[in-house]
Amino acid sequence: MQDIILKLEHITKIYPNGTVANKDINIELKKGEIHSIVGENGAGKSTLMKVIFAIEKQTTGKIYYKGKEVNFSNSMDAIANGIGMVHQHFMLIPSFTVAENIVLGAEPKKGLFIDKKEAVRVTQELAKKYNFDIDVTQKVADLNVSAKQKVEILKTLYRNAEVIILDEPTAVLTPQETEQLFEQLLKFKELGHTIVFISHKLNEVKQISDRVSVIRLGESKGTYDAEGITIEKLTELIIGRKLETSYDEYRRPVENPKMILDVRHLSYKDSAGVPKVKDASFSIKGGEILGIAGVQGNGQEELIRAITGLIPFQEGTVKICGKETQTLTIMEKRNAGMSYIPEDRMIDGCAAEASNSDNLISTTYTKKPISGLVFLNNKVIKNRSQELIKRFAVKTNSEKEKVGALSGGNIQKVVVAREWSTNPELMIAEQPTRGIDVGSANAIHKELIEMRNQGKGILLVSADLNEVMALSDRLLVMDDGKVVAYFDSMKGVTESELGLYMLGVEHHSEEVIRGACYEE
Amino acid sequence: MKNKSKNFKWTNEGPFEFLRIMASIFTALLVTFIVLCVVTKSFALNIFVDLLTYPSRSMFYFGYVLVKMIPLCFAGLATLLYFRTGLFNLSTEGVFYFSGVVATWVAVNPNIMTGNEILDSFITIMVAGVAGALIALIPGFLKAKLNADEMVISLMLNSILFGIGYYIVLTYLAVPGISGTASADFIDTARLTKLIPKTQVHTGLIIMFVMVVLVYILLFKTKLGYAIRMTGLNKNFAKYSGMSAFGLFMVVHLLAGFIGGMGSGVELMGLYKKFNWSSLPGLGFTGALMANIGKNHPIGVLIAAFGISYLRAGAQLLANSNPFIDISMISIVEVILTLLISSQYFLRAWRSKQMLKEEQKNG
Amino acid sequence: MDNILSSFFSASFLFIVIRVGVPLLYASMSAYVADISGIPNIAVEGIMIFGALFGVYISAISGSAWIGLLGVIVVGIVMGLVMAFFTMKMKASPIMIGIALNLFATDFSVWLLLIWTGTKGTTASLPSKVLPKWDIPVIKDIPFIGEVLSGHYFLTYVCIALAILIAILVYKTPFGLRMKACGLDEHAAESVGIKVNQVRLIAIIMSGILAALGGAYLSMGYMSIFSSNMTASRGWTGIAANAVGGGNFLIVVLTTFVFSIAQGVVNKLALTELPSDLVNIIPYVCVLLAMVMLSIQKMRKQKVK
Repeated sequence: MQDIILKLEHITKIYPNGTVANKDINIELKKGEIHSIVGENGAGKSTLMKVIFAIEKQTTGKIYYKGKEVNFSNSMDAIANGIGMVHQHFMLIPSFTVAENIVLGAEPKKGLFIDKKEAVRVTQELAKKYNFDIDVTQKVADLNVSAKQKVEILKTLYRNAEVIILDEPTAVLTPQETEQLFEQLLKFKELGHTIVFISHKLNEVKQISDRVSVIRLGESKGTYDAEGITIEKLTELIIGRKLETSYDEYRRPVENPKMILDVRHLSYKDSAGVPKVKDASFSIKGGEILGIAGVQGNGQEELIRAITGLIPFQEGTVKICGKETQTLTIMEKRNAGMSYIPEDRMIDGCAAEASNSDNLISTTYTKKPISGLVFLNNKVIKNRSQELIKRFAVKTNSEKEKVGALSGGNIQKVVVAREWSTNPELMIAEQPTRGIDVGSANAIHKELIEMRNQGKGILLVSADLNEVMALSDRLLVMDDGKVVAYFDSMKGVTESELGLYMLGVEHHSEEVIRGACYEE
Repeated sequence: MKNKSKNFKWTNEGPFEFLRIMASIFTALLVTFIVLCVVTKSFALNIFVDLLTYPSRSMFYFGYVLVKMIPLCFAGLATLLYFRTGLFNLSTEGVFYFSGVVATWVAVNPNIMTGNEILDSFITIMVAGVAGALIALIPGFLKAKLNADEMVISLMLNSILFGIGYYIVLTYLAVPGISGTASADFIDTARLTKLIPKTQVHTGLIIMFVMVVLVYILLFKTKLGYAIRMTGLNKNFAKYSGMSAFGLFMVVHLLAGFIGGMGSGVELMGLYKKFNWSSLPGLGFTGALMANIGKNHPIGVLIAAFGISYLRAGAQLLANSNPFIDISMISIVEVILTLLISSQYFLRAWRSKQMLKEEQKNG
Repeated sequence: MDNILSSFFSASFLFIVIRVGVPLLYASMSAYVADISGIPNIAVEGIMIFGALFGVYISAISGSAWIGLLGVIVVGIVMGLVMAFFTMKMKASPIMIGIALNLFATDFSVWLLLIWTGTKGTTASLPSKVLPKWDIPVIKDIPFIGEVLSGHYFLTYVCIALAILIAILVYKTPFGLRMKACGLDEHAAESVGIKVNQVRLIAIIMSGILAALGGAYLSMGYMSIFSSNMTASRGWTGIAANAVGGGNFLIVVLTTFVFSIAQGVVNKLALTELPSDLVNIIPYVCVLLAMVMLSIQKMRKQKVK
């Protein structure tokens, strides 16, 4: 029997706003094992890691480290005790060298000065010891993603981490780099480190781990030996039983639908030159909802931002209602019939310090009768706002109240109401119900179905599998910037089947995927 | 609304904001009083009371307050447009000076002046405004096109405008043989007429009120004002909604420059017989303070300009009889007001404590 | 005109460049240390004004230039603390705080002037002391170099020493590395246990002292009195030089040097018949052009990516 190095006992975390992120979680880490923690987005994995790392304090429950109950006061405490964490978003300073990044906060000194030679020597030696092929005198900005990750890992090793937590480490890596990482993880294991591996990608999890713990909706669903569990079984544990929500009874057929959105060969590289969307093609006709499923961070966000014009894409065409839109401004795209519920309501979707009515008219304020040539028609705005607030059941004192004072669900309703009010042909809904209460979510879903029934085209992106499955008429799955699967009907499609595509286990043939485009 | 008045609490957003401003004013005045005591080495209560009451002791004095608030208010209005858009531009200073030079050129030029009182002052002030608008386009374009740091650029521009302006005054406008540097007298019809007899108050006061109302209408009743407010509150949201930052930045600079230039014309034609400014007026920073103290609201700016002008007038009027008093001491009030009003955490601890108590009471 | 041109290549011109460049360098360094730790100090100009005024006043009442200098340092620390308190504890925007402190310094110094001297113009009536000039042994006898480098004010040599110290601090010590880390990514700094607020507090106090010393140089050396508005946008020039440097201290210093040459040219041209008001704007035009070029360069960089 191996020693238990870290033990989580009945961990419950309730945020001040009442969100229950973790519910009675029990996990034991054995010394020297690779232990995966898997679960859907928002299942509570990140919160759990924050609790271990003392970034958040658990509401109830105990943490034992090396047999003793511990109460780390902050993350420094955790680091000092030998727990290291490789964050999903790297905590590196690009203009510093690798060595500087590694020693920052615990620099080797010679008198008053940093001993830069010693820093380089120590870090280079460390890299060598763990088989990291990296030049520590390079600037981090010049490194590729996989090398940056190595620097993050070296940072934890420099601080003598015994337990290393890796948050979605392979999400940013190529298959080859992933292989390399796995070799290194095995090396760590050999040297006695304990690895916590957080991931969505089940075949990887199965390949690398000794044991796997599953978290669903904040609760632990058991720990299993990686050898003895199938991917299908894991998928089922992660996604759970099918929720019997369906909006089929509300769906009505639409006569003679016209082409609303036609995307061909769209590719986008970010400012660092990393391809984020790879040759995506699909089209949407009126009267249908095209869903895009996928684990977050696989290019969906960039795809939407490229279509809506928030970022410029390099290749491909996007036609909205037959109009080529690459050179159009956002305003012109909106005038062409586009409407957009953005992923993050607080960043793009609203001005929190402005009133409800100000937020409700931002996409229509140039149109009659809301405004004339120069003036806003405040009476019309007031009436419209009140109508929209009523129609979408926004809970607020008045149309003059600041949007920032509302609850998340009600802010989202304001966003949806505004986008609905432009009477669009194309509605792009990105994570339309994330982080909001069930009632508001249902109301928003029904609105989307209603728009579909009126012959609008709807592009729905969501990390919530239940949501895409319940709403979509047709469905794409994205993984690693590519469309990997296409379903022309949701009949008979199951979550676990989708899960296999989302998690990179399987993919459709080119020919099947080509079916996502309508012929003109 | 009825519901609201029932639930009145000092911790509610509106009343709390009012409380914060009142506390800031109180602190500012208290510190001023203490400083006065220290400086005079006595319990300076009567000086302090004089300072606060002097301007209201006669119509002439009060008129002085009104006259002096005009440039403050114009500078505040111009700056608030920048701040509302999220721009930290302090070019009102240089705009004020240079537009004044341009206005002078018009107002001493018999070929331009028609002899009609209303028309001539109108022309002069409008020319000053247009000059201001054109000047402000320089930092405006650099910001909109190149995203250049508007604050440093506007400050450099102020010094440049002063240099060029002063050169123009010396070379083309100055009348030889007069001590000091001054232009010829303005043609009478260019000057603004008195509004209140036996005071210095001129019709510029009315223009100022009109501008406050116009800026209010612009901000809250027009499409442009809406775009300004949304861009200032959340640039991403404005972009996502389809607003163009380039055009908006240009227009805002044009408008703010116009208001600044107009202010300069009004000040000159209202209060001066000829142009004799030999240094920058200091309105760039003061305008920023007015906008900040007035919470970027035109009415707020009006009140701030009145309040600061009142205190400055009090100090100015006492300065003759008391060697310790000068208009510059009001900077204590200005700095404390600005610091406290821009401090997000000022009184926040008190508010959360009150709210916590409230919650405990309600279970 | 030929005379003027040739005089730009003389030792005396370089001497002037150093003379007028020192306060600019103090301002640039003040802006630099605050900025790299993540809190822009917009109040450099104002702190310079206070440094200049208090140096004169304290030296006058104490009868010692050195006590005056000590007072200047205290003033710098106090101003740094005020900035730190409002930006870090009260969560006020550093820009608004900077604007307020600048205006305060401009006006309040006039009032203090009035109280201390009875006039609002200068401190000419105060028996203030001046920090000494230094002739450097050996170097002063070397032709050309001696003429350029020797015979400057005490605070000139302090300035050069501080520039070297800052370079060492920022590039050679753990604290410097941490300062930069706080400025570049405070979350990354926090994640390795750096106390961000503490680092920034120290940086902003250093910034205050540097600016105050720059002011003292103006009133206790360069001139021997304080007069209102004597800083003449030097603080802002420093802020601009820092912006051009983009975190690289050497470039900040070099930019400051270029601005100093512009100021030196003004001092030379002032002796000619060219209109002085137009000549005076040369440094400001230089700074403005530098800022514009900086933005164009930034735009290009973004586009290349």
